[in-house]
Amino acid sequence: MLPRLNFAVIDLRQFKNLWLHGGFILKDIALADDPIVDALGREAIGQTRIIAREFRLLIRSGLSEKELSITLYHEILEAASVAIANPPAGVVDFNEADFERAARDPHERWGDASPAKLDLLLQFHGFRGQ
Amino acid sequence: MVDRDKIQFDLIKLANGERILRLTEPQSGLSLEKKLAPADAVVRQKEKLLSAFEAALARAGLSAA
Repeated sequence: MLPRLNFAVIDLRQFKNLWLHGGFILKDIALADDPIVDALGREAIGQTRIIAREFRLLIRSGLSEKELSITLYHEILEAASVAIANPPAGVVDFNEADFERAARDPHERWGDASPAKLDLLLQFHGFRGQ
Repeated sequence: MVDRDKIQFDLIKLANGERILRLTEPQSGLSLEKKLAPADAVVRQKEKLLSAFEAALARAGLSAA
C-alpha cells in the first residue's frame, strides 16, 4: 500500500496575480525554504504583506496540504479585513481564534483552498464588489 | 491624515504562535508594530495601531497623505 502523502500538493501558481472578490488581488505567494527570521531574530512561519488591496504571502515550506489550505483561507480573510477601512459586520469583531475557525470550517466543508473557494469565503463573510 | 494606501501592513505569524501586526511607511522606513491580543478583535487593534502610527508620522512630519 502506498504511504499517505503528508506534504503540500496545492499548486500555488494558480493563486499568483489572482483577483479576488471584494476587489483584492493576491499578487504573490511563495513558500520559504529557509526559516523566516525578522530583524529582531524572531522566527516566523508566515507573513502576509498588505498594501492597499494587494496581498503578498510568504509561508514556511513543509506544511501539510491541510495546513497550507487552512493557512490560505485564514490569511486571505484576515488580510481582507485589515486592508479596508470598513470591513463587513461579519468579520469586524473577529479575533484570531475566530479567523482560525472561519478558515478551518471551509476547509472541512469545501476541501482544499482554490481561487473559487477563496472568493466564496470572502463573499460568505460579506465582502462585496470586484 | 495618513493615506492608508501608502502604508504597508504586515501580518506575521511567529513560530511561537504569536501574531504581530506591523505598519511601515515605505519612504521613511518608519514602522510600528504590536503583538495582537488573541482575545481582542483584530480590526479594532489595527485601527488603534493605525491611529498611533498616524500620530507618529505627523510628529515626524512624514504624513503619507
